[in-house]
Amino acid sequence: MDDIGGLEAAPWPPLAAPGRPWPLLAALGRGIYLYGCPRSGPGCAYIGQMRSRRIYLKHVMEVPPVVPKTPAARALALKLVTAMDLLRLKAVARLYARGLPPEVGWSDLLQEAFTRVLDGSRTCPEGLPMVPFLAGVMRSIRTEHYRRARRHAAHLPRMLVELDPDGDIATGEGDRTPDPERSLMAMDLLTEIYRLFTDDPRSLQVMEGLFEGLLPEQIRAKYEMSKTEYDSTRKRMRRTLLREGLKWGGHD
Amino acid sequence: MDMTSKAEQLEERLDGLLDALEQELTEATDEEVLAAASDLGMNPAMKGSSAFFGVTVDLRAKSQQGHLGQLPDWARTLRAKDDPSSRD
Repeated sequence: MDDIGGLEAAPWPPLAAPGRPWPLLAALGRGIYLYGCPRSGPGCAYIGQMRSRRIYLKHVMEVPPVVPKTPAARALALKLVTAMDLLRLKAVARLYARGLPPEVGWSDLLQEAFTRVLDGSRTCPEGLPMVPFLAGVMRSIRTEHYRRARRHAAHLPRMLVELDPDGDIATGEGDRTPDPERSLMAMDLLTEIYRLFTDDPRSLQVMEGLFEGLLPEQIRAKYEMSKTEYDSTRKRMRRTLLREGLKWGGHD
Repeated sequence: MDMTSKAEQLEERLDGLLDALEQELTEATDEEVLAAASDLGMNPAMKGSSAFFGVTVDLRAKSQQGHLGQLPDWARTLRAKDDPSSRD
C-alpha cells in the first residue's frame, strides 16, 4: 500500500524491451519483475507480469532524476535527528499548522525550523534534545505568523482610510485590535483539536483539564480517574495525535 | 473583562493546551510512532515510505520540476487522457 500508491495500468512501452532486471527487487514467485525505465533513468521503474507475456505494465515510481534534498533530509543525513524523530516532528508540525493561514502548510513550518537550525540562526542549547528544541522553533515560527497576520489586520483600517478619504467605507476604527477575529481563530483551532477526540469522552475530559491549565493530579481528581485510567487515556490521545500527524494529505 | 483580555486569556489557554499536546508527541516512543503509522498502512522502515512525504521528500519541488516531463510519451498520453484540464 505504501510505495505503490501511484500504480497506473499502461501498455508495454515500445522502447522498453525486456531490459535489465531492477536490482532492488528480486523476481517474485509469481513471475513479477521490476525493470529499469529506458527513458526516464534509474529513478523510474516498471513492473512486468511475465506470465501475461509482458502485456500489462505499471508505472510504479515517478521520481525525477534530481529531487532537491529538504532541510529535514539534510538534518537526517547529518544525524542531527533520526527517522522516527522526523515523524514525531511531522506530527508536531501538523498540530501547529492548524489555524495558520492556508498558504503556510505544516511542511513549511517543519522545513523552516530545520533551515534555521542548519543555517545556524537557531542553536540548540547544550543538553536539550533536538526534538523538543525543533518543536520549540516551530512554535515560535507559528507565533511569528500569527503576529504578522495581526499586524496586517491592524493596518487594514488605516489603509482603507487612505484609499477612501470620504469615508464611504465603514472602517471600524474603534476596533484597534481585531479581537473577535483572534478569538474566532483560537476557537476554530480548539474545535478542530477537540474534534479529534469526540469518540473518546475521557480524552475530552483530559483535554478540558489541560485547557484549564490543570496538573495531572488535578485532572484526575476533577474527573474521578484512577492513575491507570489517566495514563491509558493519555496513551490513546497520543496515538490519535500521532495518527493525525502522520496522515497523508491535509493542510500541506 | 474587556474583549482584548478575553481573547488573550483564550490564546494563553490554547497555547498551554498546545504545549501539552506537543509534549505528548515529542515524548512518544518509537513503538508508538510505528504503531500509529501502521494504523494508516504506512511502514516508515520502507524506503520511500509515504510517511516521509513532505518531510524528506519535497512534494512541491517534485511537481514544479515538470514531473510529467519525466514520463515517457506513452505515459504522458495516458495521463493527458485522464486529465480533464488538458482536453482543450
